[in-house]
Amino acid sequence: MPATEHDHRFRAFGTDVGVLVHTATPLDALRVHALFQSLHRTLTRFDGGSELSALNARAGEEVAASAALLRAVGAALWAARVSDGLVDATVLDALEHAGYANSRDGTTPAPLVDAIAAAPARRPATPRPSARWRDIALDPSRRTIRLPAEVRIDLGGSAKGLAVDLAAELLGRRATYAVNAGGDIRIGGTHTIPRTVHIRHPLNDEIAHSFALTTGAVATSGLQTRLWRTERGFAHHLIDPGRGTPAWTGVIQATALASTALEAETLAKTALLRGPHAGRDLLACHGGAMVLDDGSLVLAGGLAVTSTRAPA
Amino acid sequence: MSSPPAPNPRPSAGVRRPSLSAMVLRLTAVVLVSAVLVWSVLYVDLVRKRGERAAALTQPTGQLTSPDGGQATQAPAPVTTHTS
Repeated sequence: MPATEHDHRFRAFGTDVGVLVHTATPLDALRVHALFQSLHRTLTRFDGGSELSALNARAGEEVAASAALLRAVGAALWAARVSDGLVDATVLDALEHAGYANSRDGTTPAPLVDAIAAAPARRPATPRPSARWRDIALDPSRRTIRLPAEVRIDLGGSAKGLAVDLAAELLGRRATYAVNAGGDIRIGGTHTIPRTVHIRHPLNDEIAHSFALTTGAVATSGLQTRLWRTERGFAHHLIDPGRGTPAWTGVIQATALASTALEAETLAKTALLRGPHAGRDLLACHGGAMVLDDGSLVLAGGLAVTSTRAPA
Repeated sequence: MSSPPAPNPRPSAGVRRPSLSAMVLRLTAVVLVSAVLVWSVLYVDLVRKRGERAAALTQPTGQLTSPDGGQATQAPAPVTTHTS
């Protein structure tokens, strides 16, 4: 067995993906790479030829779907259900109206400090009253999906979390592994050795906090990376479904721990959308952290008890 | 040419055929021992599965440990979570 892990990096889902795996050959890391590429091609909304784009183009019709698309849409519906409609894949129209019609991969984000200073009054996000996501018909037995008429979906974070979980399934029997897709991380391995996890602060890019995780998932959601100027001020990609505009809740980044990356991603986004108080209550269940508008770090649940604050 | 001697169909006088009751007793003993062995294996398996289930329930979101603690094995590389 090699003394160190294979470290394989590539880009998918508009972000950096890193695979660390303790094996004799790099084949496992390459299999994960292929998995991500395949899922990205199927689930991206920025490629008109993707299966997701084809589904969005045929809203109102029953459409045959691949196993990957069925699973990804199922994951998005699960996220909507457990977040009480806050993590809503049907906000694509609002997202595009806010200025996120094309991929922002490679573009420099607007300064977060300026956006915070110019942001409107902070308030918790609310679900969309019509809850159109409930009308998405998923039929795994017939392998079909039907979107409601005039509804399109963006699978975004839930697809990324799902991809990380599927990669973890591939690596589950290895001594140690970590899959990190833009901050959505799964950690595990048969040797159950603790691995240090750092949380990066969105305002100064330094390590805000560190803890160790043996098995499980951690994910971070925030405004920093997909943030841009508009004629009306600043906008970002985390939409308040009830208002159909970018959410300004007083939280600029949320990190959540969970057993799967999909769950952690959903918890992190929900906590950010709920705002500082309800968000902290949500994260207290499995552990997590939030960075507020003023840059302060709030730890919640088990993370506050068992981890260590990074040196200043 | 002389033909080979025909086999004796009757048991020799020295070999006693076991009685029916002895056979039943022996069979019962074999069945009982087998049943005890099977149940022992099943019980051990059940206890092991219960232990695993309990361990899983106590760590629903991953096992948190101190960065300073852990095992003597080489520590795996750290990872960083951030907004993407």
